[in-house]
Amino acid sequence: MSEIFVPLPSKEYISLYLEQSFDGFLIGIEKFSSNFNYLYKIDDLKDVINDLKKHNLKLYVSFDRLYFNNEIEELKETITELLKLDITGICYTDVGLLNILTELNTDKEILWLSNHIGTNSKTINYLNKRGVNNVLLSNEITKDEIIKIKNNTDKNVKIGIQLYGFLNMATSSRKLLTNYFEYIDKKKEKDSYYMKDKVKKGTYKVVEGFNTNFYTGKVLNGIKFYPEFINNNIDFIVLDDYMLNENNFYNIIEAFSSLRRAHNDLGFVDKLEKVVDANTYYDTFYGFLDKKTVYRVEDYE
Amino acid sequence: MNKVELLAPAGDLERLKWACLYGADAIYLGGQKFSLRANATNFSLDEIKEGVIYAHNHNVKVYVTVNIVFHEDDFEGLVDYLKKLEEYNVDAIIASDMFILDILKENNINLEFHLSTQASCLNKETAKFFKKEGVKRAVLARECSKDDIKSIIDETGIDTEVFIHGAMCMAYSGRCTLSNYLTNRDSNRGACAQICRWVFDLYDEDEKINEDTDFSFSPKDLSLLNYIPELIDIGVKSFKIEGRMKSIYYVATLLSVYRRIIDSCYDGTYKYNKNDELEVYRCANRETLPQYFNKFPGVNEQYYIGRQENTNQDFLGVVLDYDEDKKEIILEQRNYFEVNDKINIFGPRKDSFSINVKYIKNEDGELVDAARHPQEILRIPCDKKVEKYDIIRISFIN
Repeated sequence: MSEIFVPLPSKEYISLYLEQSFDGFLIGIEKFSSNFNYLYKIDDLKDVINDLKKHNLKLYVSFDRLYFNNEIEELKETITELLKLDITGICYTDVGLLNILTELNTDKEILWLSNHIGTNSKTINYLNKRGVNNVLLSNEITKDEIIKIKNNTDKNVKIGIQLYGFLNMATSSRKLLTNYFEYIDKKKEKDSYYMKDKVKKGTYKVVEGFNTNFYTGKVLNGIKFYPEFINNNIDFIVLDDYMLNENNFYNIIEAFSSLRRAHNDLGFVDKLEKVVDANTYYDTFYGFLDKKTVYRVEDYE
Repeated sequence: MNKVELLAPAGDLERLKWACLYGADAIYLGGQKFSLRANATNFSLDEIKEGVIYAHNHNVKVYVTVNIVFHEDDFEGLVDYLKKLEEYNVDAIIASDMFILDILKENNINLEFHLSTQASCLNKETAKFFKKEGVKRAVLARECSKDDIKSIIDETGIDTEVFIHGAMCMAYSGRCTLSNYLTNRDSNRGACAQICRWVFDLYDEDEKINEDTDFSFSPKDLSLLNYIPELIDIGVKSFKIEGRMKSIYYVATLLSVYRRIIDSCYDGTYKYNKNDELEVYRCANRETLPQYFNKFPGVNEQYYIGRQENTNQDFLGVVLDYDEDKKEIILEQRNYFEVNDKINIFGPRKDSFSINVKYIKNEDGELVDAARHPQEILRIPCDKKVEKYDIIRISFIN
């Protein structure tokens, strides 16, 4: 059965979320994670872990960005501390972190947050031989590609896909908002703005933190694809609440967990898709799940 | 002491030959499959074979990019392609998708693997991982500072290739799919629509922020022109010039300048020359800066008013031959020039010089007042002997 992983906005949400059927949390950690509403200190995690264990829930700690050389020593110390805790696994984006985990000879699960580049089974099989046992695929591939990757991937590696939330489009290490506001001599009041392209008038989010991240202006609502993913043995899905309202997110989890229980009821899917839309408060879309990208001019024409 | 490698781009066979002549130690190129810059001319397998023979005859290495991020339908023909590259004596491939390391081993393909900058090798742990995997060389992320580069070299021993000149990605290379979302063109498979060169309106909720200056995030170009001695000292193995889609003039100019600087570092004659900066700036007409090398880039390392490269008309012609009897240059025209203009002539591994154009003759031997027609064959007088493949440009050197 396809597992459902969600972020944990704070410890107080555990009891609320427990009313739903899901399998665990992906959480961010101070200094080293990026795309989360809330970042935890290691000390805070100890309490969270005790609560989760009582309810048999998994906990993955997400290291979802690239690291500069001068961050490596502190990163190693943090990982070493984390591995002493009873967490399920570590998620990484930077291959350097895989090297650290390998050298520490960890028995925790390792999850690759592939962040635009997890687009084929051969790379996943390669990483599987190097200790990676879970992969969150790129958001820029189609439903058919996802299923094909699952079918061609070694059986001992779990394949997952994000099915809800804003989608990250790009990450720059530059302070692009700070720089722009300095140039136009205005005060930057916030860390998050919208940009609109002048041709298609599409709206996108620009968020500046450690990095500057670009996100879709629409929210992925992929619930209608979930039954097919369940039927094709996709191992897990991720529902993301970043920059969304945590209280409404409860309803999103409820919709997906309801569907998991009754995924062969197609009429139910349409109904739940509307529930997810109604609880999102942003326009929703299917991302690339139903749309293939092109890469040659002749294909484009 | 091994001399640092000067690595140049080549978009096609012609540019490969020019790069060989103008001082490249190695050239990188893309084939018609599996390579980013999918819309560039790129090389057929026959052209790669011919290019390698030509380059090796000039003692120049050839690296072939196999640097797309593969999708499930992209594998067909890959093994055969890699075997062909081996058969044609390609010196290395530049790739980012890690499974290719396994493909090489499983199929006994003896090709050196250079890790593409698309793989974001930004720290020593990443470099260690890839070195253990058999990667001979890492093209470091363009976000690396001098200290980062030095630390990676000192602590891992991996061979490093560093971009010294050319356009920058706004984002971490490989970590930008703006093109996918805004145009449906896949950036990681070579169809990047360069969204970082677009301009946008910026909003805080419903309030428009930009008035006179649109929101944009295009970086200025990179140039480490003034840091070559330091890069050599810290042990970088290869200096890479970006730009497989750039012109002959661009590549020849950059190679000419960087070749001169590198050679002077080894023969003890290096000194700062303002003209070097002028030459590299004018061939692209984009501002160049060290970007991440000596400080974290800020407001001054970006453009804010859209694309700013103007059409460059410095490139006046190519020398086809020299008539020693008449002391005339026989040239093929590229841009307009006229009698009495001051022109500058430069060539592979030699100093440039300037002359005034005293007359211009067309192919029929008739005097004309100006060179107006692209690719027209013309003659101009010059007492100093020049050679085929020398380049004629507007004289702007002080």
